[in-house]
Amino acid sequence: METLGTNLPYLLRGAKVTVLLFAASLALGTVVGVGAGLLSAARHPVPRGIVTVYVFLTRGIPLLVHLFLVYYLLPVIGLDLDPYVGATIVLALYIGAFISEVTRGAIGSVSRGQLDAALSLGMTRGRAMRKIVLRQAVRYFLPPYIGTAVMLVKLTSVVSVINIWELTLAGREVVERTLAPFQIFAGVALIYFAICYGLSLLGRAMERRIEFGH
Amino acid sequence: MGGYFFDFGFIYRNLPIFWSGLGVTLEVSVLAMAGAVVGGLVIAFGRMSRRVWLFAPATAYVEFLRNTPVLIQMFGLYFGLAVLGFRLSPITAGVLALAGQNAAYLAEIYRAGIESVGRRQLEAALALGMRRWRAMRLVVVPIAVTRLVAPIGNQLVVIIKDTSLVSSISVYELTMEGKRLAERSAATYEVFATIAVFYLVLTSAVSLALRFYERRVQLIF
Amino acid sequence: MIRVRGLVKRFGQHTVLHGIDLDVARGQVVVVIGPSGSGKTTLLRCLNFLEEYDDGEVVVDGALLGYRRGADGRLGRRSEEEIAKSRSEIGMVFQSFNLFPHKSVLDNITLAPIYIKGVRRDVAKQVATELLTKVGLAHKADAYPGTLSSGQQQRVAIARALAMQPKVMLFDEVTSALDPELVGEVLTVMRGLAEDGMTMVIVSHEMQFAREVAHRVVFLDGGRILEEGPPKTLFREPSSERLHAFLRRFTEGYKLSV
Repeated sequence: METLGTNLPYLLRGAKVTVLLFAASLALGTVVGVGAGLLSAARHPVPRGIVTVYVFLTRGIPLLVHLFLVYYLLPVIGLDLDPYVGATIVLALYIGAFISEVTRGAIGSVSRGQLDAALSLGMTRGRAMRKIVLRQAVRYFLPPYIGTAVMLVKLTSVVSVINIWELTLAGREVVERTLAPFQIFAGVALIYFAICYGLSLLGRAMERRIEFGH
Repeated sequence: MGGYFFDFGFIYRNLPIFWSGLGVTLEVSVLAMAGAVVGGLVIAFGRMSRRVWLFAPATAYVEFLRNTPVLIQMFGLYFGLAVLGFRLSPITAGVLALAGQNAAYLAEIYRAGIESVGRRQLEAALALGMRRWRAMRLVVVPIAVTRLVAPIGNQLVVIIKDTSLVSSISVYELTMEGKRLAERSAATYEVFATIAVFYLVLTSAVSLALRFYERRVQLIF
Repeated sequence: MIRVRGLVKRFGQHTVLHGIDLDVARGQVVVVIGPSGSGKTTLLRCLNFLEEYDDGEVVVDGALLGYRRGADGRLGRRSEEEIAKSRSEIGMVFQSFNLFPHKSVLDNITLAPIYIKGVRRDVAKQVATELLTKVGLAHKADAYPGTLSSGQQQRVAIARALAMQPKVMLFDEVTSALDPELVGEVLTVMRGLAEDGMTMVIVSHEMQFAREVAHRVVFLDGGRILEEGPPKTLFREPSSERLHAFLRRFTEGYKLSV
């Protein structure tokens, strides 16, 4: 336990980087994902097709392979990107595909009759979507969105494999110094658990507020 | 960029390396899937048990494994257990970690499915004179399974993708072979584009097979 | 008021409407009957362009619905705004009510007048209150749809459609999802509308109601109009075997329920 105690500040600095990576990629990924989810509800087949290809390519290939691809491709096309910026973008695009599915599912959960009723009153499609369908879709969006966010926290650990320093890489460094892998990885796991579990609790509280405000 | 943008010849010459990596990926995938599917069932029954000494550890297991990265679980099993005297081979540690976490996910999928079948079918079976466990086994579980094909399929796809992580405890599967090949050649991103295609084919095959199965099952019900 | 010529609607390979001709004069009440799957609902949904039709024309109050004939004589889809404008003049009531669950009864009714027609909020509220009184629900103005009975929800849905002062009202099996003892209260509201001279197209299985209220009954079968005429003649002397069989099922059902 002593080893974990003396190294805890170092691990917590790693946790801070993990949380920053998570927050930045969640923010960007939510914009991309919700946007893509809305496009997949479009009338026109072209935007829908683009979203389908995006989701297929993202969800069918491991995050680690995406990271390697970008890691090796960037120098070839002559782009010199900060590794943290690059990792954030890859994480955001990856999680964006999941968020787009969450968005699509939430829109699909609102019955078709709601759109019909709004259209029959003379609303344009855009206004009917905004004022009636999306307003109700938020309820269905939140629970799976929180689940996706928890998944993203765990996914940030994968960037350690391409040598980006955050909680997992910090843990590996400490293990190499102290040769106490069981203790250290248990500590690292507990830090991840605290972040993820806290996020789930926060999500549940938000859900309850939405239910009551309804 | 040199004289080419995608060196097909290089990929073609090194295909045997990809095949051998693919073999290991398949091995890890299949073992982890089998472990997760069976392990998940055990944990699901623990989660639904009315006995605290079964319910509490099953719940703790599910919550802890779902809220920590599988990479850390893998390191814990591989490096951590070794210090305590249990030396696992990298493949065993990788398979155990993947099966362990996904068993937690599958347990929750099973539970949701079984609970959605609900009291009514269970009561109908009990009214016919079946004992509780027989009713679960003969009536509730088969109905639940057919409803769960899609979410289970998604989880199997996750397992395939997560096998790429066992490369970090030096299992020479597809991603690891790719990394090695990329490091000793100039055709770096070509290697990973090829690997991406391999994974796409694998995950799509599983999705398609399950969608086909789902359609057949829906015809029966 | 409504003129339909050669209306064709396909879903993929499947043709649901095979060239429908239909005229509804101002103030007329037309009831469409027919077996399930005959295309009744699809026909109704084409009348406010919730379904885009594939051939023929639907003309409402002199204007072609949903499409515009270009300079070259070809048809093009109208803009979303134009389509929305035409729909705002056609009221529709659905089988499943489709009230907005996140808005109060009053807000359900005032939403469209305020946002689409630009009616002042206090005026819209006053009109809504009058309409609620008319359908017997003035005391439910602040309730949420989820707390109302099915019959009450459907009456609110009628009030919501009326608030736009439509030229025509479309009713799509509006009593099919109601508890039997609540059907009467909704039919009473519709009867009142017919007496006020509202132009109405009603898809319904309520034969007794059709007999009393309809100026004309249309029998749809397999996506074609097989027969139409005043209810007395149509119900008493159906000329096609199909209508005969269809009506017999209802009278038998009636006997059983007695």
